[in-house]
Amino acid sequence: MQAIRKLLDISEQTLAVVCILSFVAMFILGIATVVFRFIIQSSLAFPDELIRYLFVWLIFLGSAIAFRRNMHAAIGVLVSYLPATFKRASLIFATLISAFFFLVIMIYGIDLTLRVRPQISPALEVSMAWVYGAVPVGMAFLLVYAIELLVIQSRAPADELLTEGH
Amino acid sequence: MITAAIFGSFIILLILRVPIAVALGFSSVIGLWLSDISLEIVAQRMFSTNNSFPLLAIPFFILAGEIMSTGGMSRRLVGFAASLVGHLTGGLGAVAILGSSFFAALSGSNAATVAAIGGVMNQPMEEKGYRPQYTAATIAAAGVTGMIIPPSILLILFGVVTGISIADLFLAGLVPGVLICVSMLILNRFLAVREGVEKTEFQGSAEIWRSFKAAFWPLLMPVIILSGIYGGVFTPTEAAIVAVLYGLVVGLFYRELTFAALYRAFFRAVLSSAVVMFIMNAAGVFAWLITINQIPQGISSYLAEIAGGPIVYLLLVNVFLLIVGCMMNAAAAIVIFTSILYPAAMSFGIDPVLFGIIVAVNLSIGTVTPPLGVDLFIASAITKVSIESIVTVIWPYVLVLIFDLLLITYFPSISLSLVRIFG
Repeated sequence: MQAIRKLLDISEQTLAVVCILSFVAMFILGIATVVFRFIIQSSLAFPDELIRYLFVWLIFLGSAIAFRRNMHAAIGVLVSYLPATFKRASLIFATLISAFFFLVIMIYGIDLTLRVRPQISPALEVSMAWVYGAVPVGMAFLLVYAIELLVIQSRAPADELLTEGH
Repeated sequence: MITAAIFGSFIILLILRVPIAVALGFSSVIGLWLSDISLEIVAQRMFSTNNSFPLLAIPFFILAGEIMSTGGMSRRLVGFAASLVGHLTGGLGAVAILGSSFFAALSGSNAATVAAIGGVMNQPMEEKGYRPQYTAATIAAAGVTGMIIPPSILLILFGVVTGISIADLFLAGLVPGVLICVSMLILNRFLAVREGVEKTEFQGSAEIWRSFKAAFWPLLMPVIILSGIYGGVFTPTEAAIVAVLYGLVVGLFYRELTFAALYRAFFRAVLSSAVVMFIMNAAGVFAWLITINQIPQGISSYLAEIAGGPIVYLLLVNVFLLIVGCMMNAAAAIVIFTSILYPAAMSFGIDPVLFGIIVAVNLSIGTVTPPLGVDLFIASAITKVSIESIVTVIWPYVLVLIFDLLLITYFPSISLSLVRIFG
């Protein structure tokens, strides 16, 4: 269990580094588009497109980190008033729902990614599978972290179960 | 039948503490399954919502706010506010309120504003003898201008959902933000008497000039950003990118921005953006599904019938959103309910920009009302005062904010005058 947790920690840190590097790249490309629009009076198509694609990856991978850190907005007030047993049951149910949703979207996301392989993006001229791939990859991480959360929620002492979230 | 299934499952999932984004997505899955539509559309829609240039203003404005709260700018803005209003009765309370409004012009979110200004004001207010509850309540309430004074994450979301010009929405938010700031300054003047704190001397106009010079670069930023947007030089997204660059340059110039702080700023901005956008993605699917089922039109004509006219309709909207705001994250609420409430507002001939401002002010108030008010959580973390005891002190602020909301709702020129002059 310790080893698995360690591995998941590493995966989260890797995602964080990837997201931050994407964000830095988006920022530099963004500056480039603004500068180009002023100097040559026309915007370059490829940075604009690349920023949007990096953003897609950033959101899906960032969502997974946010899930592991219990940061996704939820309404925890009502559950927090439940007695311990029901509270635990409700939280586990909520995580099961999340895991099921991530699984479904991951499967359909894989189908979609495979189907859009022949499509080529207008400016960068890469396969759109590279962009759509963010959906199943992000969902896969979300699913893994949801399973980890299920294990935590079923084992943690009642008073350590988190209900808040912003 | 499908309508009942979608909304029923959505509400049940929310009550059971399923994350809002998942609740939106899951109830959409149920609706699609009942309508016999391939679930692939969920993946498709979630993807295409992100693939939008106007929405990119959100991560960049969040990042700009994070960088500016680490770069020593909040301290300089507070210094300038202190030289202006520090000598008044309840001086430091007034400094917190005015400083928050200055910071609101750099940042697009309430949470960032409370964290930045609260972090600077907490200790000085404690030393001057303000009760910690009063400090917490004041910095939390002052943060409400964060999402009203442009830039504003809520107004960007509203603009993207409805297709209304984000530039117009920003312009319309300016005067309501100032109104809220002034009304809270007045309230603080009366509340602070009971705090029994000592007064400080007026430092003189030389001090105003000195602190103005110290805060000059942060104060110049909103001027550049806003004049750039209205002068047609930047789109809001480009303005957000320029804001990040500006924050970096000023932070480096002041030698207050370390590499570690910058890394944290980027990381926090990644997480906040992901949380907002994950909801936006799922809400995109949900809104699409209810629209093809003609649900907003149905609700809208039903609401139009019971309201009868725009005045009653706006009152109903306000009461409803105040309740929603107590329970739900503001960004989630604005993307979910705009698609439902907006069509009826249009059928009553309410100005779309005004409607955006009303919704944003209303949901901003939700950030200081229990049980789920994000400003309260942050103020509580900064001051180490429990949410319960902040609530016992903050209610006069909430009443004044509701009064402001009614003024903004029923005197459209508060929001729209600037748009008519410059728009």
